[in-house]
Amino acid sequence: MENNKNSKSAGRKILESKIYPLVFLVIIVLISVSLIMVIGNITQAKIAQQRDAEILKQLNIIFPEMTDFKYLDKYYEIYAGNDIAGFAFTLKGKGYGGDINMLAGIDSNYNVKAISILSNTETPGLGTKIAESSFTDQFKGLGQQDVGLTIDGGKIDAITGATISSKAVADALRGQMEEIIELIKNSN
Amino acid sequence: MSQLKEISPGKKFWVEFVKGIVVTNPVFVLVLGLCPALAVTSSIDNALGMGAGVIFVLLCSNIIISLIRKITPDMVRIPVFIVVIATFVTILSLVFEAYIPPLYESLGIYLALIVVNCIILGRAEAFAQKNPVLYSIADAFGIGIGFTVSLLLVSLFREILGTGSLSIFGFTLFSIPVLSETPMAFFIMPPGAFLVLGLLLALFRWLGVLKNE
Amino acid sequence: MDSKIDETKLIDSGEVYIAHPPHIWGGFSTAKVMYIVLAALALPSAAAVYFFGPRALYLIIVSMATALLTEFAIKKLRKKPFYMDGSALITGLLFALVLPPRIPFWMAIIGAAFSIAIAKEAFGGLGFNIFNPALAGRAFLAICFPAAMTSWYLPAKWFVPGYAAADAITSASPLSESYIYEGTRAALYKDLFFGNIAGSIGETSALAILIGGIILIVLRLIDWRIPAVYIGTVALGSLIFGNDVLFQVLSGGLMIGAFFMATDYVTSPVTGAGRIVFALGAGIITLLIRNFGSLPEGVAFSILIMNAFTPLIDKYVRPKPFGFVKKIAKKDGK
Repeated sequence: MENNKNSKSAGRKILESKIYPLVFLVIIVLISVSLIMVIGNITQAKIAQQRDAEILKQLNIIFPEMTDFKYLDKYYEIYAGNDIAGFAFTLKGKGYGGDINMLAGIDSNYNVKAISILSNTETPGLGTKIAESSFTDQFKGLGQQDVGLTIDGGKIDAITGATISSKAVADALRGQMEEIIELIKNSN
Repeated sequence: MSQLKEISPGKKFWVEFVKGIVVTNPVFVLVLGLCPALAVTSSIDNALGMGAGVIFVLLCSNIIISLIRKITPDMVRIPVFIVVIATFVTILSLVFEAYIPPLYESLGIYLALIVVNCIILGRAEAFAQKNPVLYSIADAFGIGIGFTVSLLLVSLFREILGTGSLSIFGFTLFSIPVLSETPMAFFIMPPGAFLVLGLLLALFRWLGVLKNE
Repeated sequence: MDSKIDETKLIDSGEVYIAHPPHIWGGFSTAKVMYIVLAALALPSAAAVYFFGPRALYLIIVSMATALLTEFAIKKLRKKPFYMDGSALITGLLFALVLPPRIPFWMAIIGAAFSIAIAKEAFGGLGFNIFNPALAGRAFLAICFPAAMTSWYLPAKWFVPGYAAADAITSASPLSESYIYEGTRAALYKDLFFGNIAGSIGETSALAILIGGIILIVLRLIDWRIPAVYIGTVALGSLIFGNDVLFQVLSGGLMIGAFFMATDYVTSPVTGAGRIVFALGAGIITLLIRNFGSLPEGVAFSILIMNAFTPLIDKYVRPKPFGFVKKIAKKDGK
């Protein structure tokens, strides 16, 4: 600011006027907003594309035979050629350390095809084992009624020391499956 | 900072650059920016990503603030700094989300929180608004690299102890036989960050590397 | 800490020395008290070795040696004099007693080193630590190695024929939901009381801990109020929650926690009333964790949490000085 002392021109008058700080701030905000809008527009398409690619990758793991899929509000319809191979949906469980995000696939007989844990914040070394295939493989082929821990009358063995995380996955899946199957039946 | 006026610009550029890495290291000497230093240092990848993000934002904000320093009214300087910084952070997070989604996911909320990282606002207030563009660039690089090096140091210990192995961008450098089977999960969790940072601070004080307060 | 040699050393070195807690009634030096506590712990240690075999003995030796070596190394590093006051040995022994029997030795070494280096010395050494070092070490291991710290085994008695042939039989902790005891209720109480049950090596035998604890109470080295109020709170609470009172009191780490951990001079309040508040709080937290928490046992965490409250309790629960008159509030309306 010391450098201002050197200039005595009209520029200095502007700098000293009372509304100048306000005008300056408004100009800065306007420049900022327009810049963000431009960048936002450029990246928008790419961000959407990245999200689709991620879901496609996960769907392909659950349904290797998939040729196409269609998003229907709350679930995905999976096609293998012209036939419906099954349905997939994302769901959230309330785990020990926060939300557990999952993607589940069910076949056309409404049995579990496979599940995959997209993200979790469970205790490393214990709760994080829910993402391992030794746990998730247990769900394969189960009907909606059998999804649940053995202590709750289901067919899923809880991970030792991580009952809460295991229960979160199983309970969330059973609840969501019921809802989605209902939706599918109603839409037909 | 202004006592160095007699030195040639090239030399001063160098002085301002080196200063940020050791003498005024933001994490270990100024003890600033601890929120990201604790939160995102659970792996080397995150530390590198956060470091790169902070260098980018710091560089851009230092340049712009230094450029407009003579026409910025004193009264509204802090809001102006915040708007400039927030603009670059928003751009950064959009770019990360579009082109490096895994890093965007793992940095999470802390990417947006670069806005309130006191290092960046601190450099704007303490340096960029008083110094020409060239030196502000040097300062941004020095402080930014100093910050990144600190994050890497903390995350190095946390990743090795907490996972029993060390990997950079999916490429495993080494893994310790017994520890990788039963890693010390404590160090990956938040309390581990406090412990490692505290011990590193103590170590540097003890070694006498960081003498000036 | 207050033996003659040390005093002269400190005076010679020109240091001004102000004693911090533990302040102990005259007659016993810190070192002497520590060795008496060690002697009182001999019985639970013996029970540990009897029930869990030579491995328990090795665990105790490894932990105590690590604790002592760490203390020595840190004192040298900080350029402070090293006293053989026995406090590191107690920390090492108490730490070993709350470990599961088959934890790998390297984990025990890390935990014992953490107890001394971080929980005790990083806070300034004996008298300055906020948290009970042995329990802090255990909590550290429980977070680091949750699987290893929760694998329990049935006792494999050393002197019983067939020990060598017997492989380790895993068992759930008696406090966990999935625990099934094959036998009558009376037999379960008997096993819990004598220690023939799965658990940390030193916490299973209520009898051995009781004898050691009573010795310390009789010698007035620990305050009877802490174990009495702590165990009383848990018993009363279990009655309210409708749990098996005797089972809740005898199982888990409650006994060793109440007699040997919660009574630690440094990390518990100094006044009698303060100690009652401390023990009451620990009892309530234990009940809450056991009944509503995701962990089967909560003694270690309850004591650590109350350790954090100790300065606050000491500040607000103070004895009223003799002749003290309550101040008249707002004298001049300031």
